[in-house]
Amino acid sequence: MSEYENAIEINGLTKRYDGFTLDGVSFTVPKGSIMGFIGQNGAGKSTTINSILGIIRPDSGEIRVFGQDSRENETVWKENISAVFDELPFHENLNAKMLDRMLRHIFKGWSSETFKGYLDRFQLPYKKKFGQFSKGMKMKLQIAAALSHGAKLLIMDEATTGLDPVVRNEILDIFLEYLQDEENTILMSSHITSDLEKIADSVTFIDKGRILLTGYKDDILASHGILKCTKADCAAIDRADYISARVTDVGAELLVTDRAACKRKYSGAVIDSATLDDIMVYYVNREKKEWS
Amino acid sequence: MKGLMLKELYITRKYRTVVLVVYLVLIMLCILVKLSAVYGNIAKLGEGGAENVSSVMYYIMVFGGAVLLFSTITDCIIPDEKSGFRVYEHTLPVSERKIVGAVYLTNLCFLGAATVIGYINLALANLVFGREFNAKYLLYILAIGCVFYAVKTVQETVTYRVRKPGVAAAVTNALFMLLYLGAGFGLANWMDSYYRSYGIELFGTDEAQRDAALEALGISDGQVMTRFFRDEVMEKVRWFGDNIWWLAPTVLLGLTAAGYFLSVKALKRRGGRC
Repeated sequence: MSEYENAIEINGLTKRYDGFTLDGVSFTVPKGSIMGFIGQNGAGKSTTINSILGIIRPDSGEIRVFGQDSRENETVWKENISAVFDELPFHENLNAKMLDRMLRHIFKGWSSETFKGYLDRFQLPYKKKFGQFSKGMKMKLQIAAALSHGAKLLIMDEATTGLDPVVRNEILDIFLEYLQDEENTILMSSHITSDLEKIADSVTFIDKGRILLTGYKDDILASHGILKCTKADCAAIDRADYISARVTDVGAELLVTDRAACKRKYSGAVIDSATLDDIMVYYVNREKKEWS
Repeated sequence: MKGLMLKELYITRKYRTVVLVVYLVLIMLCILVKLSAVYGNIAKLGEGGAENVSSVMYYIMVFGGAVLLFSTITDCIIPDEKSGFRVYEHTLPVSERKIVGAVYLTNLCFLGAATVIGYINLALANLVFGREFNAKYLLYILAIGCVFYAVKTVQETVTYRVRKPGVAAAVTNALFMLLYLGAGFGLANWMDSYYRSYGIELFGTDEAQRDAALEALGISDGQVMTRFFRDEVMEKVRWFGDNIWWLAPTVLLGLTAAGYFLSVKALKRRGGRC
């Protein structure tokens, strides 16, 4: 693997389906970081991830993984990636022992010791059929399998969805541990933005097949803010300064993109910090401009 | 590829175990019937009756056993689709050739293993039933295997092409139904032309008229039918039997190559999943 700066580089990725288009998606995931990929259902997260993984073929655009064109030498770069999905992709009659034997012959870098180590750590049985596993156990198993062949890039599609907070925290700790090695990178799509706020270095927000925001999480959170005002004051605010406004009987809350500038421009206005959840909701409603 | 073949074996292990148990029960049953034909109640039927029962059980043991053995040629494309493994396998460092190759190679291994067990079964049946070795039975067993293998290969290829197991099953069934209907239609046509050699039209002629015409030739309808099957049909069957030594490998290789090529090509498209 040659030297590379970004684990993933996507330029102008386009995929057309009946009723949905992934439209010129471009973003990069720097090596050694964790990127949160957020967006509502049907926004295009899975289509993007499936394109990166080679599960679907995009209509146009370029995807580079570890600095190489993803269409070339697929079997080589796939030795160094792991995919984790929201559902366990293994048959319910299999058990961890069988999976260990299978994957040992598939990945050159597979380590049975590492896999068994994770199974012990997650308290997963070696011979119990996957059909008898709980949702949390299935997810831990996928993560154990994903981390047992020395993958440099972990791609997760809604992996923490449906898990209880205890299991989610446990999994997030594993990811932070994984990122101790600066060569390792994570791209994680999730609805649960609170998880991403905890661990993500950067965030990419997709809506209706288009990238709306991409950058370092801290920069995004620092620049965005919720401006709180009365309905009357809301009318006086320049429409270019905010993404959308949530107007209720008691007042209005506006998502502003340049918190510092707005503070200067509208002196006295209360501007609170925005969460990723807020940013997602306000951006999704950007076409309506005002909503309740 | 070894890992994918192991997955095939693990997932279909339960089904294959059940088939194997049924096969063993069948063998035991055949042996018990043979013992009864020699020492037990069936022997009381008299020499002819007991011999008939014994003969039927011999064929059930040899060819019924072979049918059961070859039904272990199966795959896990549908379970893979349901579990999501068909999506996951694209994230693995294996090429489409290896993905499809693992399925086809597993099938060939089972065809080989089932043929060998079928031959051992034939030897056992000869021993138990006191029959002489008939080399043609080896070819007949292989022919049964080829039929099972062919059906499975066609189904797998269609599944890879259409991507939806339910639709693939319907397409395969429709394909074999067409073949069956075509064979039936062909047989009727063949029979009609045979009757024409007697100057009689099989279809469109009243049965009484046909009987009268045949009576004038000094032959009955039943006799014509018997001759047709004995001289015409069995001649072709014998031809297949005599040429199975090259027909079976040709069909096997041709089907495997075509199925493999089409399946790999279909898998490389990767357009539909999302």
